[in-house]
Amino acid sequence: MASNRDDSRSLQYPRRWVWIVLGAALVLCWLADLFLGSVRIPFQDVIRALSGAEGLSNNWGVIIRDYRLPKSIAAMFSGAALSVAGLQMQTLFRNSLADPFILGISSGGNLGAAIVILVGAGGSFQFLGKFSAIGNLNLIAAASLGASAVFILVMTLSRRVHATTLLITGVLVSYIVNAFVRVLVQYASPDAVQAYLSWTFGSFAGVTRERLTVFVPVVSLALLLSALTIKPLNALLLGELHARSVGIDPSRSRRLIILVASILTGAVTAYCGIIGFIGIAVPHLCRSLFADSDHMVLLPGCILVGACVALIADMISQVFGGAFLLPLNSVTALIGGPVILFVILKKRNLSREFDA
Amino acid sequence: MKRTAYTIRFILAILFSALIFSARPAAAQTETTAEIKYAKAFTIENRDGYKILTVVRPWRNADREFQYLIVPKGKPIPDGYLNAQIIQVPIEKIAVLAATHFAYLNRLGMNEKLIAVANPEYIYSEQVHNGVDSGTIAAVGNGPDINLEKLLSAEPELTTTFAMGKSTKDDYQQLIDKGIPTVVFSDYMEESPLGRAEWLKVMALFFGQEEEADRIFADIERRYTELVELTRDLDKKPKVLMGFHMNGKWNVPGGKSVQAAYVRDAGGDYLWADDETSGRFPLSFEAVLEKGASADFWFDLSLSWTGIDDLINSDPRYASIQAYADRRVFNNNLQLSPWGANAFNETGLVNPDIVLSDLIRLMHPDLLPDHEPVYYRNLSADGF
Repeated sequence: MASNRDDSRSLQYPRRWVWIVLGAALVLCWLADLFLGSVRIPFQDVIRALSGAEGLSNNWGVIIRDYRLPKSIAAMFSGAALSVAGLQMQTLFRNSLADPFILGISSGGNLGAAIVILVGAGGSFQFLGKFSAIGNLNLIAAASLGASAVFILVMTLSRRVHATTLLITGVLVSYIVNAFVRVLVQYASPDAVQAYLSWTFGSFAGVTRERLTVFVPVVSLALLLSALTIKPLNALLLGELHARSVGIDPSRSRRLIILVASILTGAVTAYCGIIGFIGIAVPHLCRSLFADSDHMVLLPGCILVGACVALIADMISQVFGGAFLLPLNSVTALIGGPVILFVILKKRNLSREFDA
Repeated sequence: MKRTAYTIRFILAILFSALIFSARPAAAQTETTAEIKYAKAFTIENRDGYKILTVVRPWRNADREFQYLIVPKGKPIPDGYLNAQIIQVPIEKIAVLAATHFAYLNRLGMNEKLIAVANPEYIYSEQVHNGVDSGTIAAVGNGPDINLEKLLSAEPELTTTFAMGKSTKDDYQQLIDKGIPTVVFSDYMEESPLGRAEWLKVMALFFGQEEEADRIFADIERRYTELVELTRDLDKKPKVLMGFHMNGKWNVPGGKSVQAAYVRDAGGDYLWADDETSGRFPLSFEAVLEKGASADFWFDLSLSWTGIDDLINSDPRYASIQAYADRRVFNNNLQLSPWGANAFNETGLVNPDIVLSDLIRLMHPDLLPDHEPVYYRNLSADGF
């Protein structure tokens, strides 16, 4: 750790440039996401739409203000949220394969969504909808409920069991949920199955302005809370013994980290579906970008890089338009996969990242 | 003995044909092709004492055909068709593995021959629903994953199914191997409403109901073409949008789809009429918002939407489409059964003239002032 601090001091000048470049990249990506889409809209019309001008032809005002703008904001916040949650999970479990979904929170969201889509939209299990409010519940509420249910389970367990046990719990929860979802899929109508599949592909496009009024505050709050996890994360990197020696309660900080990561993941899953890859790739990208394992650097780094990556992925999935509307998850993995592979192969030994 | 006689007769026939009618060798046989005017996915040939049904386009981009010999019970089975399945008619027990196949059965009045169905919850008919509940009709599983044991124990003489090709889920081979004649229905491959309805003639073959089917279809065709005449020379054709989006992806019916044909025939100007797709193709939400901004009418949305609130709760951005502001959003689910099946997909399939009347009534009320829509509901109910 000490040596890292020294490194960072000696790299002060370029480090500042990294921040500036990242900040500029975020603004650029955001603007590009507003200006590019499957519909070609002239530059000045985009500006006019953003400044609130009415009466633009072809619904352009609506496309920019009500479609691209909320979509881009959802992308930014989702990318940041998933990257931070991924970073927290990787450090918490000292495992470079950990991602935001490892606790099973998103599986809970998945279950909620699956029940609403597959049961609500017709199928043999429709009787479930008659018994309860499930059928009328909207998708976001159901996904949030499912995520919360698993979250409560994980939080309860986290008081009692070791971190590794939590890891296994998360994996098992995913298996159980997936098994149940498969049963639902088997008996659902083709339309419902398609709707469900497209939900699992992940998308920022379903987030409307109204939905942003909940999504953005929740994610912002959780991102602010994540600042409190910086010290515990750094301490955990050194092991529980060391953490105790610097006055940090490993069990308490573990719960705090899980709480924050769960809110971040749960919110994104509920509003945008399951968006893979960003949460595992961006933390690795940041570690090599900053050549550091200090979370004081990595956490804000993940916010910026994560937001950029999500915006770029959204842009690529949209810009081909027409018949080539790409699933977001495929874009993140297709573009992100080779990048992260390159980074990993270059570093050869990832396990060292979790040694101080 | 019999075979030798046939062979000799066959050789003689060929010889005579070759010698005498060398220019028109087919003239010696009693062979006609049944008149199939609109459907493109099957053919029927009438031979002496039997018929040949060929499903030529069993699924999209199929590289094979399915051939069936329709032989009256008690008549000899003709030789020389190694790859054909033999169906001895009239049959008494049929299993249908898709709800749409039941529509044809129902239209021919052959309901009582139904002994097994798959996915009964998609079947609108209350009679079938009750039959499944009381056990007189077997429910044999869902979609392509059928419960083979249940199907076999129902002992159907014929099963109708559908296939996607190159899919491990396709069940036709398994059924054929178990000795059940299995017809692969591909009515959904048709590009016109009349073509789809014409599959009546296929179902009729199995019950000796060809004449009835011809009569029913001729009626449908007459009424349908009369309606098309009504709209032919209209100068003002409203712009039409169809479908809805899921997570930013809008599955738009192609310009060569049945839906597009309905809109064209009803005197509408479908926004993607120039497209060459026969199924659906995906577009981004913003692309549809742009093109659909000026749509006068909006048809065929999510099955579960029965009011304008359902639409707006699903996505408030739909409000930017002109048809919404004009309260001209119509869904084809006016008749939903308590278990969620849509009559449009059942009786609508075999009554394309009524579906067309609905659409004409909605887009050009002056042309059919007395017609009350049968399948379409106005999502903003007070707009009528």
